[in-house]
Formats: sequence, structure tokens, C-alpha cells
Amino acid sequence: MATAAMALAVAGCDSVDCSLQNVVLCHYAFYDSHTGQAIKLTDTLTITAAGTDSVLFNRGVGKQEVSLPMSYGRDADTLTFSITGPDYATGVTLEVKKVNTPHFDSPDCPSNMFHYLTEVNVMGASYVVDSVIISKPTVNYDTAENIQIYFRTAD
Amino acid sequence: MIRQRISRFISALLISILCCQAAQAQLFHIKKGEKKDDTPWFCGMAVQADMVGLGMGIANARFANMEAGLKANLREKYLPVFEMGIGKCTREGRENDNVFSTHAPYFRLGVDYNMNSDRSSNKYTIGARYGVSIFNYQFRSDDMADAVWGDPMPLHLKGLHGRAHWLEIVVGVQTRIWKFVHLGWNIRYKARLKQHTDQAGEPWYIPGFGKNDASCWGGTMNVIFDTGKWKILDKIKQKRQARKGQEEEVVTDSITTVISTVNP
Repeated sequence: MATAAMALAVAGCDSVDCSLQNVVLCHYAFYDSHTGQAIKLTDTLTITAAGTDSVLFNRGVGKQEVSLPMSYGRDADTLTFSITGPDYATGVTLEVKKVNTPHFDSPDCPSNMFHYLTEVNVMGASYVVDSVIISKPTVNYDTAENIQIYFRTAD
Repeated sequence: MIRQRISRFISALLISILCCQAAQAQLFHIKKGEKKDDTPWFCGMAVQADMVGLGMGIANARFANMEAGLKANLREKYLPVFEMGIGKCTREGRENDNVFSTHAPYFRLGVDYNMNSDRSSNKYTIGARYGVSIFNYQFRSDDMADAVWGDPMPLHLKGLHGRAHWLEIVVGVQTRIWKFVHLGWNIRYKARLKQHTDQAGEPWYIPGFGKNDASCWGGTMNVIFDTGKWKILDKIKQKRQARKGQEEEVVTDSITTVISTVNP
């Protein structure tokens, strides 16, 4: 009886303590290639991922940064940024290479994938994007920017 | 006549004072004798097994620390102890298909101090332990899937390596129930000192420690088999009781002499 009571006392109390911030997103920030300053895109921005019919970001205007999910198991994600102005439409395709690392907190909490960015490339010639750099390669629950995209702007 | 009465009174008074002094000296001797500890330095060894962990293991609880130990008895006062066991855990997620599991040994080294001055009675102990466990753990998540790209990603992580060490403060009581069989209960406050875990995630449970946190509580109920000098200790106990009886007789005799002298 005493043994059972002690066993219950030891094993009985248990709480679920999952992290509230448990979404893994890659944060992209936009910069002016001439000044190096952060900019807001005045045009309409839509982002899709190759290999899926999902729209990751739909018709955003005046955005300075976007946060996008990454694939769990693929070695590279190919994203298409479509930029639409009043009388024109253009786009740029980025290839983001990464290493995926599984992550878990507790059996009660959803498990996740963390990523380590290894390379970002602009696919083909682009008149819109000048360059892309990785500012923080670790993609996890943090909300710090991971990739900086430098747009060409009119002088 | 009056002189005779006075001399009788004085002699009775002197005798009673002497007797009181003798009795006092006897009492002092008892106290002095008790202070001089005749308990042997090494009083044997004991093996112990925890019934709580065993019960939790049989009941298939979320986790169980099944352990046994070896305890030395130094002067019935200092009780160095070595404990080792197997910690096992299979923990399923409450609202998902995640499963954490591990099964590994652990070790503890420490000492208990018997606070009871009456060495032949129950032991009320306070002590400390240093525990360590080196273990592998597994994590499985069958229902993990990439919602955006639509790729199924069942997670089967095996052989994740972990190690941890911790300190325990132990308060307990131990009582003899038959000859060389004792029962002991204790509660433990455990504080994790350091842990090294796989980057994929921390273990939900550390063998020997319990649910992984900065600190936690635990307890054991031990069945203890005294393999050492319990017979010798019994003899010492009998000797003490006999001596105490003799001393009580001496005091009673002294008091009787005083009374008979005052009232002849």
C-alpha cells in the first residue's frame, strides 16, 4: 500500500510545458542594393514554392520582410517571388540550400525540423534582385532575419 | 539522651550524604559510560532493494528506477552507500503519436548519517548522494508530416546519446522488523548538476534522476538485509540492558540504605 502510494506520488504529477513559440520559419528581409538600407516593397508580392501548389505568401503590399516555412526533408527549396506593379509583372526565383535537423522538446509537444542554411542562389538573370546573402544560417524558433535580399532600385 | 539523639542524627546525616554522593557518583558513571561508545567501528554491511521502483516497473508506469544498493555500517552512525539500478521509461505523447523511450543503468554514491543517539533503535537518517547516468534514448514521431510540401516525414531517432549527473539530499527512517531484515523509507530532493544531450532534443527522463528538469523529488522504500554483525549488535544491546539493570539495582540499594539509616 505504502509502495503504491509512493509510486503514485512520484509518477503522478506531470505537466505539459511546450514552448509557445514552436513555429519554424525562415525570415527574409528586403534591402536597397545601392544604399544598403532596409526598404519596403511598394509593389504586390506573391511567393510560391516549386514542387507544390501552395502559395506561401499572397499579394502582400508594403512589406519589409516576410517569414516563410521551409520543407522538412528536401535539401533545397526553390521559391518564386512574383512582383506585380501597376503596369508590369516580374519575378525572381531563389534556390535555398539547407541541412535539415529534427528537433523535439517533449513527447507531448509537436516535433519539428530545424534547418541550417548553406547556400542561397538567384536562379537565372534577374533585373530585380541584385544579390542575396545569408545573415543567420540557423533557422529555428528564433525570429531574427536569416536571408537578406538586395533589390535593384531606380537611381 | 539529647547528646545521643544528636549524634545519631549527625551520623545518619553523614551516612545519607555519603550514600547520596555514592549514588550520584554511580549516576555520573552511567552518564560517563554512555558517552563512551562501545559500538564497534565496523558494524557490517547491508544489501537493499527498492520496492517503489520495482512496483512502478511491474505496474508499467511511465518510468521506473529499479535499484539495489550496498550499505556499510560504521559505528551505527555513518552509513556509506552505493546504489545502482536500471532506469526505464516509455512515454507516449498525450495528444500525438510521439514516443520517448530509454533503458539504461545509473549509479549513486553517498552517505547517510544516523541522527538517533540510541544506536540500538530505529535509524533516522539524513544524507546525500551523487548520481550519474550515461544513456542512449530514442524518440519516435510517426505522425510528423510536412504540411506545405506534403512530404511524409516520420521521425525515428535512435541512439541519441545523453549523460547527466546530479546531487540528492536524502531524509529517511529505517526500522528493524525481524533479526536481519529492516525496512527503510526515504524522500529525496534531486538537483541536476549538468547534462549533455543530443542536439535533436533533451531526454524527457534521466535514468535514476526522474523527469528531466532542474530539480525533482523522489523516494524509495527499501527492504534491507543486514549481512553483517547484527548478532554482535544484539549482544551489545543485551549487555547494555544488563548493565543498566545492575546500575538501577545499585541506586535502589543506596536509597534503601539511606531510608533504613534514617528510620532504623
